[in-house]
Amino acid sequence: MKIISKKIKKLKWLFCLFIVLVSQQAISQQQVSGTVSDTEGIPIVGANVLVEGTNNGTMTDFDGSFELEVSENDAVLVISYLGYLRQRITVGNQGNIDVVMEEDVSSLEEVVLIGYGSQSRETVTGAISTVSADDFNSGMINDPMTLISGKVAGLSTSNPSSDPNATADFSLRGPATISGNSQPLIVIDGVPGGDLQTVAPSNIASIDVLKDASAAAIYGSRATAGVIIIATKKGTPGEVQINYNSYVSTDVVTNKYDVLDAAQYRQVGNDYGFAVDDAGADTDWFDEVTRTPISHVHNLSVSGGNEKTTYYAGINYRNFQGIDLISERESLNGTFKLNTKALQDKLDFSFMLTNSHDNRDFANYGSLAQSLKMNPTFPVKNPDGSWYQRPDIQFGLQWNPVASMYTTTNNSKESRLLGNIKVDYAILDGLDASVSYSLMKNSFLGGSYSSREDFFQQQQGVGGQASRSQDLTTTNIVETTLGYGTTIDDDHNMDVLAGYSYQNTFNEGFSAGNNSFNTDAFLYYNLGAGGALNNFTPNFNRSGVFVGSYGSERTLAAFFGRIIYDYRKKYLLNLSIRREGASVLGRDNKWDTFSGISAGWVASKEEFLQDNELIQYLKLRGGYGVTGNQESLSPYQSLATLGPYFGGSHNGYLGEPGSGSWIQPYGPSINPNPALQWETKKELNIGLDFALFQSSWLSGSMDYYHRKIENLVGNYTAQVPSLILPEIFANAGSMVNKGFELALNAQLYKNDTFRWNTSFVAAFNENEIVSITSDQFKGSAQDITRVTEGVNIQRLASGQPVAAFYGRVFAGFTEEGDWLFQNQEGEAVVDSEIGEDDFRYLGNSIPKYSLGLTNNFNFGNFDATVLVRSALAFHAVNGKRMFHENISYYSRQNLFESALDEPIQNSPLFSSYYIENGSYVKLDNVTVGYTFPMENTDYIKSIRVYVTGTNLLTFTDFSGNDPEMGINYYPSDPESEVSNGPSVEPYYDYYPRTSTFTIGLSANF
Amino acid sequence: MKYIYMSRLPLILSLMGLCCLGGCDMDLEEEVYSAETSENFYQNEDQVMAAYVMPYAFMQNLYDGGHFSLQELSTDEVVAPTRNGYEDQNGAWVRLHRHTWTSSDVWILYEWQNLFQAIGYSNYFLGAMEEQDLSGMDLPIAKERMIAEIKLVRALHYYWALSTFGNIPIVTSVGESSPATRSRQEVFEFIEQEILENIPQLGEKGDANWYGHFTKSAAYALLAKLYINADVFTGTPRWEDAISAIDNVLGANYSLDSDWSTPFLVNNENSNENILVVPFDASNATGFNFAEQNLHEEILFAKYNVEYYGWHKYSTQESFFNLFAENDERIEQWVVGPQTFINEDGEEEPIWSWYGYEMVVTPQITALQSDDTGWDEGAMSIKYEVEVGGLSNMSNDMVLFRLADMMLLKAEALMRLAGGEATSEAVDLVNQVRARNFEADAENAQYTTSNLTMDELLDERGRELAYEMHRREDLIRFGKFNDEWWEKSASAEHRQLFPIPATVLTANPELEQNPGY
Repeated sequence: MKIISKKIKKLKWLFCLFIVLVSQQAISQQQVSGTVSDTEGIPIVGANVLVEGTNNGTMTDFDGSFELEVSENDAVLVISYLGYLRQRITVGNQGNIDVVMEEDVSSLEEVVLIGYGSQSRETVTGAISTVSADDFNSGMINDPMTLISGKVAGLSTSNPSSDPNATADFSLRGPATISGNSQPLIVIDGVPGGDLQTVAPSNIASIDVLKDASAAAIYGSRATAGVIIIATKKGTPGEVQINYNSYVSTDVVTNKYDVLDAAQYRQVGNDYGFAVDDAGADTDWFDEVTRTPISHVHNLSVSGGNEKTTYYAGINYRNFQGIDLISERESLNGTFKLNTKALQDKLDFSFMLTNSHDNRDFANYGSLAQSLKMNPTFPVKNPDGSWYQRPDIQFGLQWNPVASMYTTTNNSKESRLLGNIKVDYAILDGLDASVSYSLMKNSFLGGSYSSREDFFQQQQGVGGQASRSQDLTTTNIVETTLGYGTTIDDDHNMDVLAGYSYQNTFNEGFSAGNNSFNTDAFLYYNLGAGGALNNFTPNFNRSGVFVGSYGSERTLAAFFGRIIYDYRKKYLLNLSIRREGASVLGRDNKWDTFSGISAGWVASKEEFLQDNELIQYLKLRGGYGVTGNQESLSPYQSLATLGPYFGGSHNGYLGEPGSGSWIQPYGPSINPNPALQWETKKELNIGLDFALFQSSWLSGSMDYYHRKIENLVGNYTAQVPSLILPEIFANAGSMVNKGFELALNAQLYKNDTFRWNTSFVAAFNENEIVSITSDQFKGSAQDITRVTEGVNIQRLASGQPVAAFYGRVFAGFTEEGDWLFQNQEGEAVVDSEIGEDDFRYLGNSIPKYSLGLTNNFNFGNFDATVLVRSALAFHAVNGKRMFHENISYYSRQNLFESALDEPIQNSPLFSSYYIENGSYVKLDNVTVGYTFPMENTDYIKSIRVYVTGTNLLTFTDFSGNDPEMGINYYPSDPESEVSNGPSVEPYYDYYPRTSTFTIGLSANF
Repeated sequence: MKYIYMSRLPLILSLMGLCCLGGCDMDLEEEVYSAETSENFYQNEDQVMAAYVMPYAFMQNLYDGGHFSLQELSTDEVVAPTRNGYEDQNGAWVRLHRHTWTSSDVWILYEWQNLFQAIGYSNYFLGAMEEQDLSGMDLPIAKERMIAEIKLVRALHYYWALSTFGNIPIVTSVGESSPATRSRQEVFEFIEQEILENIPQLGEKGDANWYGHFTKSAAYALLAKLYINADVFTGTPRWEDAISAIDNVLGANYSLDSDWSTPFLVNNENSNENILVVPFDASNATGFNFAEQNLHEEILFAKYNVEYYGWHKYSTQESFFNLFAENDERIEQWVVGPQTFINEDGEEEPIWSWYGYEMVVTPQITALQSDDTGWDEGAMSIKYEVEVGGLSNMSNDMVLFRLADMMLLKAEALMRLAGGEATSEAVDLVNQVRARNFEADAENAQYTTSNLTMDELLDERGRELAYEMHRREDLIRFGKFNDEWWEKSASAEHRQLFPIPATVLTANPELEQNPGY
C-alpha cells in the first residue's frame, strides 16, 4: 500500500512540474486563455473557470477552451468540473494556461440527488449512495436493479432466477414490513412511484439510494423501505452525440441436478424392491425442456443541444430468451427528453416521455420442475410422433413436461408509459417556483391457452381452455415546489424548499375465460367460440368459464418542506417535514406528519486537520427520521364493504325440492378496520465519510443504523367471534433492523498505462420482530411458508427474524430407518410422539451479511472489471430434496442421485435435517473491454468492444439450484397449497440458474 | 426589487393555484367501485334475499372444512391413514385418530373459525334486519320467517360449537369486543331459548321455499339433539324433553324411505326422511367432494367414468366395517374386495392397481402410518351415490338431520329412562329403521327387548348413521369416546372437548382454555 501511495505522490509532482513548464510570460491586465482537458487529453466541455474571490468567470466551450480577462497577475483561477478535483492556479504572467483535470476518486464533488433537488456530496448529512453509469454492471441486464447489485452497502439485490420475465428482488437494510412490500420507493426523473420496467437500463445515467429515514423523510409515507432515485440520461450542450451499443448473450446452466438416468433408475427399483415401470427409453428430461438461448439488445441514442436547449432521444430494443423452451421477452423502449430555457433564461421547461412495450412468453415453472420428476425410461414421444403420456399413473403424476410446454401458452403484452412536464421559473435571484405534471400508465393484456391435446385438458375433459385478462393502472401526479437558496455573509448557505404533491392511482381490469373448443386454432383470440359458455348440461365441465372486472382507487396528498443549511460547509444541517394524507387509511387517521433531521460536521475543515497529510476529508454525520409505508396498505380495508360470496360457486337455494333457484349470496367481504393507521419507521443513523491520503486515493463511508418499524400492517388473526372473517388487516406489533455498513473506494495503482481501482461494500443487518401484538390486536405466531399442503416451514413470530424456519429438530434415524426427532426434553423419539410443542425455531432465512467487491483495471486500451458478491449467515431449504431424496417416492417420480447417499424411506417430513447453510460467494461479473484508438477517423469518436460473463462461479454448501433466492417475504393467498418464503427453493417450481456470456459493442459518433 | 416582485406575483399565485389541480378533496374519502357498502345495501328484494341466503350458503363449507374431520376422524369410524409414505397435513389426521391433538392443530382452528364465521354472517344479517324497513318490498319469504330461520342457523352453529368446544362466548352482534367465555350451561340455555322462541315463526315442510331451510321440524330435530346430549353438556339429563321434541318431528310429514340409500342419492331431494339438508350442486353450490375424498382414482375412472383424481383419503376402520353383517344391505355402502368394471364390450374386467396388480381392497389397514402399504387398503365409503360421469363437486345434498336418526334417538331416550333396558316401544322404533335393510325372513333383521342393549344400540346407530357426522357425540354420550381402538390407546376424559385454538385464545384474552389443555 505504501509503495503505491508513494507512486501517486510522485505523479502529482510530475503534474505540477508539467504545469510550470507550459507557463509563459504575462503582462498586467491581461487576457488569459487556455484549455481544460482530462488526463486522457479529451477536452472538458462546460468546466467552470472562475477568478477566486470575484464573480469574474466563464465556462469552457466545445473544445474545452476558455478566455478570461484578469486584472492582476496574482489572480488565482479556480477550475472545477463535476467528478474532477478542483484546481487553483495562480495566473502570474501566463497568458495561456492548459489545465489537465484529475478525476476525483473520492467523488466528494459529485452531485447527489436527494429528492426535489440535489446537493453536493460534500454537504450531505444523510446516508445516501450514488452509482453513476460508468460504474454500472455490464452484461445482459434485464432488470435495472442488477446494474448496481453489489455496489451499494445495505442494498441487497437478488436475481432469483435467469427467467427473462423475472425481476430482481431487492431490499434495503432488511425487511421493512411483514405485509409484502419491502422494496424501496422508485423515483424516476423526479416522478415518485415509478415502475423500474418503464426505463431501459441503457438510458439510466445514475442511481441514488436514500437509505436512512432522515434522508428519505421528504418522501414521507412511502419512504420506509428507502428511496431509489433514478436519473435518466439527458442531452448536453455541444455537438450531436450519437451512441450505438449492442450485445448478444447466451446462457449455460450452472448447476444441473443429478437425477437418476434410466439404468440407475432400473437398478434402484430392483435394489429397493419397487416395481419398475420401464418404458425402455433413456431420456434426459432436463435436456428436453431446455435450449441454448440467444438474447440480443440494441440501443441507439442521439443527444445534443446548445446553451438554451438540450435533447436526448433513445430507442432500445431487447430480446431475451430463457433457457427453457418457450420463455421470451421482447422489449421496445422509446425515450425523448427535452430541456429548454426561455424568458431571459428564467423559465426552464423540461419534457420527458418514455414508453416501454413488452411482449412476453412466460416460462412454465411447473414443467421445468416436472422434468426432474419424470421417469427416465419414458420416451418424450411415441413412435408415431405423438406425445408419450401416462394418465394411468397415480394422480396423473407423470405428465410429459415437454408436451406441456408446447400445449400451453401463457403470454402478455405490456405497456408502460411515463410522461412528465416540468416548468421552473426563477422568480427572483435564488427564488424558484416549479410545477410538474406526470402521467404513468401501465397496461397489461394477458392471454393463456391450454390446448385440447394438453394432458390435464384431456384428463379433466375440458377440451381446450382459453382466457384473457386486462389490467390498467393510471397514475396522475401534480407537484409544485417553491425553493429559495441564498448565501448570507459568504458563510451561511441556505436552501429552503416548500412543496405540495398530489397523486391519484386508478386500477381497473377485466378478465374472462371459456373452455371446450373444437379447435386449437384460435388460442385466446376467440373466447366466445368455446362450447362451455352456453352449455348448461348437468355435470358438463365448465371449469374454464369465468368473467370478472374490478376497479379501485387510491389518493395521496402531501405538503412538504425542507431546510438545508451549512456554515462554511463545515457545520451542516438538514431538516425536512412532510404532512401526508392517504385515502387508504381509516377515516380518523388519514393524515400524519413525517419528518427528518440530520446534521454533519466536516472535521477536516477545522484548523487542526487543515494540513493533515493523512486525512483529506472527514465528516461526521447523524440523523433521525420518521417515515411511513403506504405501499403496505391496500384500498378499502377500513370500509365495511359487502360483496358476492365466492363468485357464483356457493349459492343459496330457494324453493321446493328440485324446482328451486340458486341465489348468489352477499355478505361482508372483509372485517373492516376503521382504526387502520400508518405503519411508521423511526430510524437513527450515525455515519462517517472520509477521504484519506494524498489525492484522496482511499475514501469511503461507514454507517450505523437502528430502525424500529411500528404499527406493522398485516393480515392478523381477527377476534372471532365477534368478527366474522378469520383475518383482519390491522396494525400490530413492531420490528427492529439494526446494522452497520461500510463502503470503501481505493485507487490502488495508477500510472500512465495501468490503473487499478477497487471498491468494497459490506453490510450487516440484524432483523427481529419484536412483537406482533398491539392494544387493538393480540397476535400470535403466523405460519407463512408451505413446501406442500399443510406443511409449514417458516414463521413470523415475536423474538425471531422475519420468515424464521420452524419445525422438528432432527435427531437421527432408528435402526429401521425411521425418523427420530428431539422432543422438548431433548430425547430422540419417533415422529408419532412429536407434537407442535416440540417444534423449534431453526434459524434465519434472510442473509445477515451482504458484500460486494468490484475491481476495475485499465491497461492501455484494455479495461477489465471483476465483481465478487456474497451473502452470508443465513439458512436455506431445498424443498426438492424432501421428495427427490426420499426413496419411498420412487413410484411417484424420479430421484436425485444424492438420494442413494443416505437413503430415506420414510414419510417426507420437514425438520432441521433439511436446513442448510445458504451462505455463498459468487464471481458475479467479469468484463474485459477494448477501446479502439480512433484518432484518424472523423466520424467515429470511439468504439469499445467487450465480453462479459455473469454468475460465473458460486461457492456454497447449498444443495439447491442457487443459494441466491428471494430475500423478501411476500404474503400469498392463504388458500394456496404452497407458498414461497425467502431462501426456500420450492418443490413444485423450478427455473434453472444460468451463467450468461455476452459480447458487446459500444460506438460513439 | 419591489417592482419585480409585484410584477411576478400573479404568476406565483397561479403556480401555487395549480396545487388544487384535482387535489381539493382533502378529506380523502374512498370511492368504492367493485363492492357495495353496507349503508347502500338492502334497497330491493334481490339484495335482501342475497343477504338472507348468505349464512345458508356458507354451510357448504361444512364437509370440506374442519367439521367432518373433527366429528369423524376422532372416532372409531373414519380414519385418514398415511398411505405409502404420503402423509397429509403434517400428521393432523393421525393426531385426531390418536386423540393427541394440541391447541395448535390448524383443523381445530378451521372448525372454530367456520362455526363462528357462520354465526358472524347470521349476526350480520340479523343486525341489518333490525335496522331495515322492508315493508314496501314484495319478498318471497316474510321478514319474520327469515329472521327466525337465520336465528336457527345461528343456534345450530352454537350447538356444534357447544358440543365441540364446550365453554364458548355468546355473541349476537358483529363488533362486540373481547366477548368472555360463558359456561356450557349458559350456552345451552341460550340455544334452547333461541329455538323455542323462534319455532312459531318458522315454516314447515311443504311451505313455499322450505327445502334446505330451517323448518319447524328441523328446529325440533335440533332441539332433540340438544336435549339428548343435555346430560353431557350440562350434567342434567333431559330425556323426556328429547322425546317430546322428537314426537313433534314424528308427527310431521316425514316417513322412512324404503331403501337405506334413498336419502343419499344424487337426487336425494326426493327423500321422505331428510329433515334438514345442505343443498349442493355441481356448479351452483360446490364443495361436496365426498367421492373424491373417499374413493381410489382407478375405481372412479373405471367404474364411474369421472375425470378427476380420487384421493382415497378416508377409509373406515376395520372394526367398524366388521359391525356390518353380510346380509345387511347397508354393507353396500363400502367398497371392498376385488375391483372390476364393465368395459365397452360389456365384459367384466379387473381394475388394475398403480402397482401393476389387480386391485383388491381389504377392510384391513396394515398400519395407521405406513411407508409401503395403504393405497389399496381400507373400505371406502360410497354412502352418497357416486354419479357416473359426475364431477368432483357432487350434486347430492348433504344430510344434517333425518328421520331415522330421530327414531333411534327416541329409542335411546326411552331406554335411558328405563335404566338402559329396551322397552317394546324402543325396540319397535329401532326395528323400523333396521328392518328395511334385511330380507324379511332374516333372523337378525329384528331386535327384541332382550338383545337390544345400549351397546347394541350404539352399534346400530353406527351402522345407520355412518359418515353423517354424529359419531363423536354418540361415543361421548355412550361413554366410549376415550376407549382404546385400533392404533389409539385410551385417552383422557378432557379429550371429549377440543381445545380452544391457541391463536383464538391469544386474540381474545377474555377466553378460557378448556381444562386439561
